[in-house]
Amino acid sequence: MIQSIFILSPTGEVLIERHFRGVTSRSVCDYFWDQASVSVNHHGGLSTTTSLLTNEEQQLLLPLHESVLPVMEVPESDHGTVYIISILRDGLSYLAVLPSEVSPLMILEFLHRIADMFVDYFGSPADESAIKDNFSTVYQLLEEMVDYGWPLTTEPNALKQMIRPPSVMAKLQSVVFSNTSVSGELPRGTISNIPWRAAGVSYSQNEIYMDIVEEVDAIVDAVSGSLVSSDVSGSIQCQSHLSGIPDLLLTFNDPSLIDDWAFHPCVRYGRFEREQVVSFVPPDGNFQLMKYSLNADRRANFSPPLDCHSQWHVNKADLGFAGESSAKQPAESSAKLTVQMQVKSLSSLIKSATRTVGGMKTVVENVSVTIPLPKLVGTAKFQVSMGSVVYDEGGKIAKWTLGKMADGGNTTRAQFTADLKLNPQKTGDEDIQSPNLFLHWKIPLASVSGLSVSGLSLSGEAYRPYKGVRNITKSGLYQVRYS
Amino acid sequence: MPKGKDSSNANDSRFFTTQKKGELHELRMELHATEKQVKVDAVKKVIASMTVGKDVSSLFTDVLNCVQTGNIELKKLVYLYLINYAKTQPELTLLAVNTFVKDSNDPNPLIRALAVRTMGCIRVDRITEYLCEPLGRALRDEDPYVRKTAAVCVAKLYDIAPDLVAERGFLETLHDLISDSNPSVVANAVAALSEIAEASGKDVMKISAAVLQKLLAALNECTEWGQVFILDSLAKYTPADGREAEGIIERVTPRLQHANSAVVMSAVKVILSYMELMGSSNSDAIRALTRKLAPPLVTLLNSEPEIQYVALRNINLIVQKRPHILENEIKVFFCKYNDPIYVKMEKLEIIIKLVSEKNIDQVLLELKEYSTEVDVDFVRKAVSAIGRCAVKLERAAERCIGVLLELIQTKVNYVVQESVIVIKDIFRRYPNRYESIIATLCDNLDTLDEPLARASMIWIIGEYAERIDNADELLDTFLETFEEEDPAVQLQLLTATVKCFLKNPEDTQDMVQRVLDLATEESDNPDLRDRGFIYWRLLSTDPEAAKMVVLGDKPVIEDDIFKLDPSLLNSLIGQIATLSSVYHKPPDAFVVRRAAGTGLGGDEDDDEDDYEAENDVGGEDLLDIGGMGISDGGLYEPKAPMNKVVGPEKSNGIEVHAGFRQLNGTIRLEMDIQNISSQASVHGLAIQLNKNSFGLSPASQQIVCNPPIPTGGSGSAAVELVVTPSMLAPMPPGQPANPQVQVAIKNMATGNVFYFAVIFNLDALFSQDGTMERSAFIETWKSIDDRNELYGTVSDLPPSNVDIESVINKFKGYNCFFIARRPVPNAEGQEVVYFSMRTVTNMEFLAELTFKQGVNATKICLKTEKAAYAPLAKAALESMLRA
Repeated sequence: MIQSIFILSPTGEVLIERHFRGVTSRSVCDYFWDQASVSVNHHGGLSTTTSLLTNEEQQLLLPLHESVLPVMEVPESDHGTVYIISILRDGLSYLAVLPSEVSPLMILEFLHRIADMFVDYFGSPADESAIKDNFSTVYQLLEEMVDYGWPLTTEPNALKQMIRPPSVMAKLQSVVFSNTSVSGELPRGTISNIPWRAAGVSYSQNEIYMDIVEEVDAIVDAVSGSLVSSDVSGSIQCQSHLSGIPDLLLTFNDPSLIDDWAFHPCVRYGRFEREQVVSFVPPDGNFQLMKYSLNADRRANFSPPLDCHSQWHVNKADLGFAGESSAKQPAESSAKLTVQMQVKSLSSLIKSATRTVGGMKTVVENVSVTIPLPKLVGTAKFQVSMGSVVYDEGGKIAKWTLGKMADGGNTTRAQFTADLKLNPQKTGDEDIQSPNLFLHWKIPLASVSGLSVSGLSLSGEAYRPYKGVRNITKSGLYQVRYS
Repeated sequence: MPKGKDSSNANDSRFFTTQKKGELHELRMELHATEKQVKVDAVKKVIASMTVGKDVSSLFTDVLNCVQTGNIELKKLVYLYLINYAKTQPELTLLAVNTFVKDSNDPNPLIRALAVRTMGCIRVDRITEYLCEPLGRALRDEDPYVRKTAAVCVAKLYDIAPDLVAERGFLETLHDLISDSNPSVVANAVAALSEIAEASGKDVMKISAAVLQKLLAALNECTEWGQVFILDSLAKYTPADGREAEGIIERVTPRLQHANSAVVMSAVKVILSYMELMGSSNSDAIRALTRKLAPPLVTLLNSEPEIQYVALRNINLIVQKRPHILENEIKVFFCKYNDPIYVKMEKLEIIIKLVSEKNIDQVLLELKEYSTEVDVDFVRKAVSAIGRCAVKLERAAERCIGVLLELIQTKVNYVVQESVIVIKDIFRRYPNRYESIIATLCDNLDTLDEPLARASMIWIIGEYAERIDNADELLDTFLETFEEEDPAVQLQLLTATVKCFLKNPEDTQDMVQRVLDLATEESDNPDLRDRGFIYWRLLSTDPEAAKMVVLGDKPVIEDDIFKLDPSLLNSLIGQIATLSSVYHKPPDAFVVRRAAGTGLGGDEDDDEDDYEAENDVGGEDLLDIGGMGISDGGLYEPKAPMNKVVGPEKSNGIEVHAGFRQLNGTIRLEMDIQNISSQASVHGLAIQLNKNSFGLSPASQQIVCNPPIPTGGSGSAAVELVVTPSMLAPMPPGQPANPQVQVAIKNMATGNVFYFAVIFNLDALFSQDGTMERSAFIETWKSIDDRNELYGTVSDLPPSNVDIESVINKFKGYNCFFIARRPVPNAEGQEVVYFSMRTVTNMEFLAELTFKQGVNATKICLKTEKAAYAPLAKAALESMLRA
C-alpha cells in the first residue's frame, strides 16, 4: 500500500510529506516534477492561475494535468523501483508513492477523497495557501485518514467529530476557552454498520432538501450558434438535517428516463435493481446521493437555451511592403470581438410542474461569459449593452457578467464589444487565434431529462420532516468556439 | 502574557515563520510551560520545523515529556513526532514504552487504539518486543475500533518481525477476525492477511467455504475500501465449479453500481475471472452478465481524468478478452476536446479495438476530426489509427484510404508523414490494389523529413517500381544523401534499389552498383553491410534466385500492434484493477517483496538432500498450524507415479516418463527424460500446459537439464506448477473431471515441439491444511447428500499396506489426514478409519476406509460436494494405498 504521500505546490515545492512505512526520499518528487515539466513543455506552456476561471476551465487552459501520466514508474530510486500515482487538484499535485502491487483506482479515489476533505475543511479552492494556513489540520487529517498506508476514516461526518474544521467559532473558542480542535471521544459512527452516518444526531427542525442538478457540457459553434456536441450528466445533491436514523424512500415518476447510475454507498442497490426506487439511510449534512446519465433519447433532446454569436476581426498591420511601412510609424495590429446573446424562446427544457414566475417565460440566471483573449493583446477597451465586465490584465481574461435574462422579444438582446490593440508579433505570418468563450448559466426549475420525484417518504422515525425537491439545469463546461 | 499574540494569529502559517536565533531554546522553554495551549503550540512548531526539514531531534526528551497528558491533541502530535524520529533515536524511544503500555489499557478506546497504532509505526526492534502483549490484548478488545486498528498492526509487525507474528499466533487470530461480527474488522483483517500473503509469498489467506460466506456477508456492510480488499481476495479464490462461481458472481454484481471506481473495477475482475469457470453450456447466464458489465464500465468514463486513464487501460484488456461487452458502446470512447492527452491516446486504442463494419463510417468521421487538433502526438496517432482501421477491415479499406488522401491534401507536414507510414502498411496488407494513389504520394516526396516516413516511401517506390515511370530517378535523388540518412532509410534504399534493378535492369545498372558500394564499403553499420553483401552475391551468382528472394510474396500483415498474447491476456484479466493491468505486464514483472522461502524452479531439482534439510527446519511453514506435522523423522514422502507418456517416435528421439507429486507444498510435474536418438544433447526444454480441470500452469516455462542429457543418456527434470483460475478448462456440468493434463514441450536444442498427456493424480493437489476438527468432520459428513457418496474396494494389497498405523502415517505424507478410527460394532476384527483431504483449490473430500484383519483389501467410501472430482479422489486413494 501507500508508502508515502507528498503534496506539491504548483511550482513543484514539497508542501506536505507524510511517510507511513519508512521514509521515502524527496528525490522521488524531483523525478516526478522533471517528468511533469518535460511533458508540459511538450504539450504547451504553463501559465498563471486566475480566479476568473473555474477549476475545470483552468485545467483546460493550463495543461499540467494533461501531461503527467497518473501512474508513473520511478525505475531506480533510492528504494528500488517504486510507483507514483498522482492527481492534480487546485494546482496542487498529490503524490502517493507505492513500493509494490496495489489497486491504482483505490489510490486515485483515495487521493481525491483527501483533496475533497481539504475543500470541505478549508473551503474551495484548497490551494497552496489553504494548505499552508492549515498545515497542522492537514497533518491531523492525514493521520486520521491513513493508517500504515491504508485508508482509515474517510467519512466526512466521522472525521469532523474527531477533528473540528477550522471555523471562526472554533478559533474564538480556542482563544477564549483554550479548547483544542481535537475531540477526545471516539466518534460513534466510525465503527457502526452505517459508517457514513453519525450517531445521536438531533435537530429541532427536521428537514431534507434535494436538488436534481443536470449539467450540460457543450460545444457551440461561434459563428452559426449551432450545437456541435453536448453531453448531459445528472446528479442528486442532498442536504439532510434529520434526527436519529431516518430511513428514506425516494421514488421517481418515470425512472426509465435515466440510463446509468452510480450511488452513494448508503443506497441499497438491490432494491433499485428490483423496484427502481432509491432506499437509503442518509448521511448527515451535504452529500451526493446519486449520479446518473440520461437515456439516449433525452440526451439528444437538448438544445441551447441561449443564442450566442461571436465575431472576431483582425486588422493586421500591413508588413507586406517594406518600403512603405518603414517610412511611416509601424502600424499597430488591432482586433475586434463582438458577442451577442439572447434567450431563446423555444427551449427543449422540461419545466417542473409547479408554477413558474412569469408564466411560460424562460428565465436564465447567473449568466456570464468568460473570454480568454489572445496573449498578444496589449490594451483592451470594452463596451456592453447590459451587465458589467471585469478584466484580468495579467491573464488576459475578460469576464462579462449579465445576471438574470428572460426571454421577451428583442429588448433582451445583449451585446459585448471589445476593441483590442495587439502587440507587434515577431513571426508575422502566424494567425492570431480567435478566442473561444466559456458560457455560464443556470435555469432553475427545469431539466433536460424531465426526471421528477413522485415521492419521498420516511420511516424509522416518528417526526414529519420538511421536504424540498427541485430541478436545476446549469452549464458545465460550455464552450463557444470557432471551428 | 507574551504568547497571546501568537495564538490569536489567524492561521498555521505562523508556525513556519519562526526563524529567530536561539529558536530551539525558546521552543524548549515553551514545551515545559505549564499552560496547555502553549505546550500544544510549541509541539506544533516543532512539527512544523520537522516538516520543512529542520533537525529538531535535540528536543526529543522535551517533546516526549509532553506525552504524559490527558489531552488527545497533544498526545497525537507527540506520537507524530515520535514516529518520525524513532529510527534515529531508538534508545530514547524506549522511554516512551511505558506510556504506550499504559495507554493501551486506557478506558478510552480511542487512546487504546492510538497507542497500539503508534507502537506499530515505530519500527524499532526493541519496541516490537513490548508491542506483542498490548497487541494480543487489542486483537480481542471489546471495542471494534480497537480490534480493527489492531488487525492492521499485525501487518505492521509482520513487516518488521515476521517470526514474532508466527510465534505469537497472530496469524490465527487474524483468521478468527474474519468471522468478527463487525464488517470493518473483517475488512481490515482481510487487508492485513492479503498484505502478509503478498509479502511472504505464501497463501496465508486461505478461503474455505465458511470464510467465503463471511466475506460475502461483510462485503455488503463494510466501507468502500474494505470492499476493495474483500473483492481482491475473492478474485484470488478459485471456485470449485461453475455453480459456486455463479453463486458468488450473483453476490458481487450489486457492487458494479458503487460510486467508488475501485470497487467497481475489482468487482469486474471477480466476475470476469469467474466467468471463465461457468463453461460454455451456460451461455445464457454469460450473455446476461455481459450486458450487466457494460453500463458500469461506461460510467467510469465520467470520472476524474486520472481514474479514466486507469479504467481505459483495463477496458483495453477487457475488450480484447470479451469484445461483446462493449461492442455497441464505441461512441463513449470518442474523445472529448477537453480530455487530457493521455486519456485521448487510450481512447484511440480502444476505438481501434471496437471498430467494425457497422460503425466504421462514424469512426472515420471522428478520426478525421481528431487529425485537425493541435496536439501533434494525438494527431499522429489518429492518422495512424485510420490506417489501422484499413488493415483491420478489408471492406472499409477504400474509405480509409480516401480519408488519408484528403489528409495528405492538407499539406500539414506531420500529417503527411504519418499518412505515408500507414499507407505503406495498407499496401502490405492489400498488395496491388490501391497503386492508383502512388502518384499523390510522390507529389509529397519533398516534405518527408522523418526517417520512418522516408523509409516507408522508399519501400513503396521499390515495391511498385514498375508502375512508377521515374522510380529510378526518385531513388537517385535519395541516393545523393545516402550517407546522412538514418540506418532504417539506408536499408530501405538498398532493398528498393535492388528491387528496381531486378524489375528494370537496363537503366539501373549503375545505380545498383553505387548502392552496393556504399553499403558494403563506405558504411560501418553491420546490418547494412551484411544485407549489401547478400544482395551482391545473390545478384552476381543467380539473378533468378535473387528475384525469388527479393520480390517474393510477403506474409500478410494484421493489425496486431498492441494486441496481447492470449496467455498473457488471460493472466492479466485476473490482474484487472492492479498496476500490472495498467502496464499490461505480467504480475511477476513487478516489484514484490518476497521472503526467501519460495525459491524458483531450476536448481531445486538437483539436490534432493537439500530439501530434506530444509524440511527439518520446520518453522518455515506458516500454514502447518497446531503441530500436526511434528516430524519424528518417519514422515512418508510420496513418490510421483511415473508413466511413459511419449516415445521416441513422436518426439524426435526423446522418451519421457512423467508424473505429479507434491513436495513441500509445491505441486511438481516430474519427468524422467531419456535421450534415445536425438542428435543434440538435451540441455533445456520449454513447457506449456493446455487448460485443464485443475487450473495447473507452470510457474516458469523454462526447464534446465543440468547436466545436459547426451544422446543415449538419461536424466530427470521437474517443473513447479501453480494453480490459477484462468487455466481452468470449462467443465460441462454433470460430467466427471478430465484427469488428463495436456503438455507441450519444446526441445530448445533442436526446436522440436512434441505433445503428450499425463494423467493427474489428485493427491498432488492435497493441501497441507486439509485436516479438520473431529466435530467439523462429523458435521460435514452428515451435511453431504448420500447421493454424493462413492464406494469401491481395493484388493490384492501387500500385507504391510493394510496395517492401519502405517497407512495413517503414509497418508499423512500425502496430506491426507487421519481423523478417527473405531472398531465396527458386531463385526469382529473390522475397523473403520476416517480421513479428510482438502485440495489447494478448496475441494474437500472425506473418506471412510474399512479394514478387516487378515484380509488384504480395503473398502473405500468417499464423500464430497464436488462430485465431478470424486472418481479422481478415489483413484488417488487407491494408488496411495498401493504405494
